[in-house]
Amino acid sequence: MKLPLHALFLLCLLSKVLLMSGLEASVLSDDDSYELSINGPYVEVLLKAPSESLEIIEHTEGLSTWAPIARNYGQGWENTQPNAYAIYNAAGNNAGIDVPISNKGFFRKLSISSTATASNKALAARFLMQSTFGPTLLAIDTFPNVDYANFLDASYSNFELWIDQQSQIAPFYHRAYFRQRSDPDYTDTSTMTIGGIDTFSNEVGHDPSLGHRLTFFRDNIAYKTNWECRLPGLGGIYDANGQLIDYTLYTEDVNNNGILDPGEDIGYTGSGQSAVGNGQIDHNLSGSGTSGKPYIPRIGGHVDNALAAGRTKWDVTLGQNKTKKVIWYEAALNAEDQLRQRIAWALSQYFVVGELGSNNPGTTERWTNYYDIFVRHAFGNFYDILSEVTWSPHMGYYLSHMGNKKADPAKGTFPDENFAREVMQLFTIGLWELNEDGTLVLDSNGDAIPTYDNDDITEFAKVFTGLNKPTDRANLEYFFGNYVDPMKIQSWKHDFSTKTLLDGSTLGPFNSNQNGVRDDIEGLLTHLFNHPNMPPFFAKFLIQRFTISNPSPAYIQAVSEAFKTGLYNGQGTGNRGDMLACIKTVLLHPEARETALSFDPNHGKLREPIIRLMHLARAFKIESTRTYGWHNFNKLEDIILQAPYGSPSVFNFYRPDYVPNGAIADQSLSAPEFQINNDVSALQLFNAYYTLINFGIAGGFYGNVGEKNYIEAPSDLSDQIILASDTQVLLEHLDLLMTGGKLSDASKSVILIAANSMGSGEALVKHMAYLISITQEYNTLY
Amino acid sequence: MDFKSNISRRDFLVQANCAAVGTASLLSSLLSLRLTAGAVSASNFSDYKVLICLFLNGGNDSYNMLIPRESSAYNEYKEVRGGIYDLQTNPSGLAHARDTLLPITANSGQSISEFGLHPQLPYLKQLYDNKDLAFVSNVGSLIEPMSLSEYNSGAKQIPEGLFSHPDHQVHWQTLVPQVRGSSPKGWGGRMAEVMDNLGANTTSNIGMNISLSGTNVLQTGLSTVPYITDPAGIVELKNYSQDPTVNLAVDNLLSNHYNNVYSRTLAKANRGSIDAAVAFKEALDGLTEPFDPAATKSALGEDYTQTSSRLSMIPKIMQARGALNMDRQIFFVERGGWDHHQEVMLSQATLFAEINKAIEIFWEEIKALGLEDNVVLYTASDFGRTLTSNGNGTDHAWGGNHFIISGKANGGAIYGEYPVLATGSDYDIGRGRVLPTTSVDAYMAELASWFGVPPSEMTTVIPNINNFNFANLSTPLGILNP
Repeated sequence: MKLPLHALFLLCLLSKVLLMSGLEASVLSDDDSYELSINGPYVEVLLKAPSESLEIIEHTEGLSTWAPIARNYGQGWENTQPNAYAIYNAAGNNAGIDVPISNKGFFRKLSISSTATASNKALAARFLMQSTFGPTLLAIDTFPNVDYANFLDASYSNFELWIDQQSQIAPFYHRAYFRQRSDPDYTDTSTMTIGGIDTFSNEVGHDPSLGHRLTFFRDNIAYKTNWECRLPGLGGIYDANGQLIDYTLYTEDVNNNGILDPGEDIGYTGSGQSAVGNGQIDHNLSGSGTSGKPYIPRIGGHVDNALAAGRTKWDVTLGQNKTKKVIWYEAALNAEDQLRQRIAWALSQYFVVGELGSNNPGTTERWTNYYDIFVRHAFGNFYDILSEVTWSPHMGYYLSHMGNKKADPAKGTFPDENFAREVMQLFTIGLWELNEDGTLVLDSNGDAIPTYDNDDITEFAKVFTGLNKPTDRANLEYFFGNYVDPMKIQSWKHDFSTKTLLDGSTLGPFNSNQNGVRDDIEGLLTHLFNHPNMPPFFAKFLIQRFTISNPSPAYIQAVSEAFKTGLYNGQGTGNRGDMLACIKTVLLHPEARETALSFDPNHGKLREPIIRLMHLARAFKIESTRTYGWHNFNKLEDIILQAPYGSPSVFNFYRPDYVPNGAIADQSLSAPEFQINNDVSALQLFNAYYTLINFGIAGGFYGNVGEKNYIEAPSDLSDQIILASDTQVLLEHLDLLMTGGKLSDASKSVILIAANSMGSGEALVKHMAYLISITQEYNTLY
Repeated sequence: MDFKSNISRRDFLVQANCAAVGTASLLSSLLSLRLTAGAVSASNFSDYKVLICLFLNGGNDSYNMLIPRESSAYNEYKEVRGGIYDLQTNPSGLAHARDTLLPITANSGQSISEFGLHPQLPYLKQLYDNKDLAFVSNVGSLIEPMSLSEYNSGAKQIPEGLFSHPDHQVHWQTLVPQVRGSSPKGWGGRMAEVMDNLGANTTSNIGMNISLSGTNVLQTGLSTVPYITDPAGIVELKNYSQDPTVNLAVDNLLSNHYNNVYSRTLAKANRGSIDAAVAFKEALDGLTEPFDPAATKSALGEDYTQTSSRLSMIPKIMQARGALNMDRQIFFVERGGWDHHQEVMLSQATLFAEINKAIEIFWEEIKALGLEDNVVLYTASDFGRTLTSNGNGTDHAWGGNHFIISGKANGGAIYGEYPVLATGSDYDIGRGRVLPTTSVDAYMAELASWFGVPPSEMTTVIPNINNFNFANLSTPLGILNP
């Protein structure tokens, strides 16, 4: 076999060439870092001490595509995606990787000997791009110890300190924000107890100091659910004595004769087990709105009072369906607990409920209440999130396990399979059996192994039976029922048969009562939570949301380990599923922090569009001039294909394995965010940058991010304008604020040339910020 | 940056770019956009053909779209669906009352002749009666044909990820159901590449695939991606065409080399989006009636829906085919919301009404343009749904019914074998999941062949097609005339 060696060496100076013809082989070149030899069906790659700060060994068969097989960025040799050939210890403190042999195998080494040139502030800004909705000058300047010479240490301790500080900040609860701005007559019951149980700790009362922004139902029924799930495995509804309630006694059609008899379909009032019968539900809808209907709480809904305060009507009205979103934008732009909010946002893309597919897309409380599961447990435990999501009627409607009944042979009906399927596919274990490092477990034929089959789905569908919509009560935003409290149990609808689990063990039998229903459901959730796939499946998701699209096996392994042990660096609760340990590992792993990796071509990700937009809004201090200060971004789900509560289906805005054509596909890698980066949305997003930078939140004549044909929330460029007399200084400032100092020399040069014809002062700032916003350095992370 | 002494920066870049040597394209050239290099010597096609995929995302419960009316078959239908739906007396029932169905007569190939359409599909009945619409029955993703006993014994290969949304959606679009995920690429993308090589659209600056519903697998080939447009109008990059400084800076930023694969992919995508928008706008602005989303919206009035807003763009783009230099176009329109685990009876009726009306508006426009022989519109969906009820909805299943609309269709007939719906039939793999008797491959081969894919290239477009024996690959199901 004759190969054009000269051509090869011209392109790839550091190549080793392994020529294989039959079993004969010869090795050319003399690089010190690795050696090749043939061992049976493999090429043994011996990996020795590296000489540079980043070395990547690549392999090709036939020169069409080079794939990395090993990497060393100062943390020892590791294997890499996409092939993730196993790495092992070899003699003499070396590592080894076996690559399947082929007719034409070529190896080469890419290397770079860079020293970190990023300033402390640039390092802090890059970290804040991963962990918040975008760095601000203040956040960069006040980052822990950012002015100290030894800011960066081997354990990234100042970054961990920031995380610890963040985890201690009082949470911004979306539902609380909503309710605190509600009816001033509303009684704050947050400190009340019933039967000695502090069941009201999550209830939020009106805060008069915040003004009168929302209307609310009056009166309370002394009834509360334990929806914090502080006790293990608790869901459902509890009575005043802390006992689970079985709504079989209180449900519709107890006689099961197809019609409602007197006394059926009752509302449960909780305090005394009493009922208001005959289809009457005690909503206490005594408030009266302008049309005689009770108030539906929404921001700006109470127009009369606002008018009395001298505000015009346009200033206070906001479509009810916007309320939950302006609360989300408030959190993203202004909440102090940025990391908690970013985690919540990530979790909302894992346990998805979207407006499309909900029976009630326009309301607020059920959505914010659901979202607060993620806010509340952002640094808590994954199991609590899984359990609360499962019991939530908001999810119960979306994936249709609410109202699900055991099979009825007479009617020819079967349990609904929807939740049983997705709880495995999306919320816990995924489709394929995984090793702890996220690589596929292979059978003896080298094939991947499915984690479950359709028989498992039909089996588990039986588990999610006997839950139904919680009984109506007062003091909720009411719209066709109570979608806030956990679903109620109706044991007569539950399939109490013993279920076979994925490992062949059995679940049940349990007592045929409400406790049995709970044990069945929590038993299955526990089974899935303890499945070996759970840690790596969630680990990869979390990494993709925060730092990079294609984590190495070592990175996934580290986060899996944190999930399993509940520890980061030996610290933590020690409980499986500990979220703080997971998030620390995601953000503090060397793969997320080491700047040498920015030279690895496969390292990084496309940023989520909504985070890129929020980043600009924060960096340029978008501030609402509206009475109640809301930031009314308009229909971002249509414009940039991503918005809070805007996922088109339970499969989120993008799939974790989406592959765009081009360089990423050539490397057999994936890049989820490219799924919503298309010809329209990509340019809409850039035009949204333009609008935000030049005007702020505005629509119509001004641009595409606002609802109104005027500027509702202007940008504030004063920090930049004072620097504009020196173009170079301005560029360095914007580079830090917008890319964490990553602008390449080539990009800077383009921008500086353009700056000659971009005017001065404010005009220069706007032009330059716009150009930087459309650079690759702003839109990607690496 | 301090590169190793014996390697220059330029070498590093070139070296890292080794992988792209074979596929490098001229980024700034409009002519190379989204296209494989067409064979220069090939001649253009003389005819004009348009294929439109209407994807019903979520899994249409299509045994309530096309329903047997003949008494014994209807009774089997009624029984397996849990009786006639009634909100008060039988809320778990899924059957439509026989006298509410819109009657149609099947061709002699079916074992029964009386069928009915869902009550909300009167325009489809009209098209069927006019022989412009054909149904294809019991279609599903298969790797090879199989019987119930072969399914049960595991004797034949079955698609990966059976009954899961993302898997079945992708299978319909890749036609490679033995592989999970989109790596085999979409058959529409592969077909565009085949047609490009045969000389279709040789001088067009827009790719053959145009999506009205965002990125999708179907239209993504090895080297092609769909051009995405939107009912809201054509989006151009702000100030790109107006401000020379922005124009130059953007061009320079995008033509820089990016070592990082995410940056490089994004830069290339942005280059394509910016240029295609300019070209597309120019072509549509040149129409005698320029494309105006606001006017289209107000003209549709109450009939402006997600489906109609997208379908109504297609005739506009078709009219710009001259300016766009296109003789072959593939459109993708998606309507979601079909995953009816609950409230199937109410919600499906609403969606059918929307589809029916949108198709009526679209097809009347096509007829007014005299292009009905140039267009094939066909449906796709994840899967059919269980015949049995889960209480007030249905779950994921397999085989389902579809339709093709074209002036070139041998319409007024049902193709493929309409299955026996009774529980325990030779098609029932349990819970009323119907084993498909017509492969998606056969259905798509019919379309590909009409579009101009020669039999010699059929396995490129539809890799498993030889697993299904057809006497004539030019018209495997006999639906479409050339």
